[in-house]
Amino acid sequence: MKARWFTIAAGCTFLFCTLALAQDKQNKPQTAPSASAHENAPNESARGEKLFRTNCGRCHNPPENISPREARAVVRHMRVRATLTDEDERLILKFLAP
Amino acid sequence: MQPVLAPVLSVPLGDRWLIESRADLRVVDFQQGPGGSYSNESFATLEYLQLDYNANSHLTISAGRFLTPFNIYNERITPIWISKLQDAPYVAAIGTGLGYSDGLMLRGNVISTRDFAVNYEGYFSVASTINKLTSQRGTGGRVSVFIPHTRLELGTSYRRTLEGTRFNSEGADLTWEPYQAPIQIRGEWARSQSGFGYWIQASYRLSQIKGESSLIGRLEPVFRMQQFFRSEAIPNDSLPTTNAQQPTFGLNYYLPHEVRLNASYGRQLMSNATNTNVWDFGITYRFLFPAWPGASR
Repeated sequence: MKARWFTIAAGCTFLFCTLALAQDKQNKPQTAPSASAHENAPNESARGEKLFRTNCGRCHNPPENISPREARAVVRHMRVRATLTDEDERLILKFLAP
Repeated sequence: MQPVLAPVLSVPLGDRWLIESRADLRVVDFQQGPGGSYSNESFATLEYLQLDYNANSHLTISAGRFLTPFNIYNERITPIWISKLQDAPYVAAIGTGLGYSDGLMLRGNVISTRDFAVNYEGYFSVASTINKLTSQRGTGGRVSVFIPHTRLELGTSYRRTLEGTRFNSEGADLTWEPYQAPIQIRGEWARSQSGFGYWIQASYRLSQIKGESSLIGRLEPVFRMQQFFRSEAIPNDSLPTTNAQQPTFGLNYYLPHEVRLNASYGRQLMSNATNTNVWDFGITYRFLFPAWPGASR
């Protein structure tokens, strides 16, 4: 029984990955932010966006129509939840409230 | 039918302090036996109310009531606007006590580079029997390694319950979200004196087909498999009374303005009890607004 369900779980997970990665090849490929890309980011907002995607975006999308005051409260909350550094907090705030 | 309101309060004070809180207010319908009439009952839970001090990048001190940091489900996935399936997995009850702890927590990152980050959380919780503010005495923590280039995170957790019969709980968790595709793999394994089990969940947003704002791009199929193996009968441990397994298929639909529809079907298979179908239909709406007038900084 254990082996059967484990096989089903593994099979479905594999199917998800295969479908997603196969679909990706048909579209424009995206790449993880490289070290050089990080260094050459045009501005701090873009770096903040990458940090948001890397950390906060793993669980949720950015809130819509957020004011600078709200952004400050949200980012402070996320700093604790996602264990962000001082620099991460500052850059993500630049992204959410440029 | 179960309407739920989960207000989150976040109050930054200066550059280092934060007060944050979340409550869970819900009304649950009950049927008085098969074919009987319905009645309802309301529940209000204070899930966390904590004061945080961000000393530096390596240390944040939290005092008050906080979500017990054990594996990933309790701290990260319980918000109803985040969880992709509304039912909690079986093993979410292992190592988290009541789900929250009252005491002191230290957290932060040990090291953070371009290639990896090592994070930690450690806490001590006191016992409380105050009505609506009960908590269990215990201690524990979690250590995780996060690789930003692949968005892969591996963590391990430990808890020692120091109330009544003292026992240990151990856990391990995995999160992987490749940049190449909007796919998310999450899973946990946990064990305690009650037994052990795991869940693994995969979700795939179909945004690669015609963009995330297209009709089909707003869809997200989800699959979760979970099993629990009972080793000792412990009353009121919030775990299945016998060995159990449940595959669950879900479908989420992301509407504009932070509205999400979700539906799921699961089949709960118990070793010594009747198997049951588990259907869930839901709608979530997330919004935020300033709670107090003030100037922007």
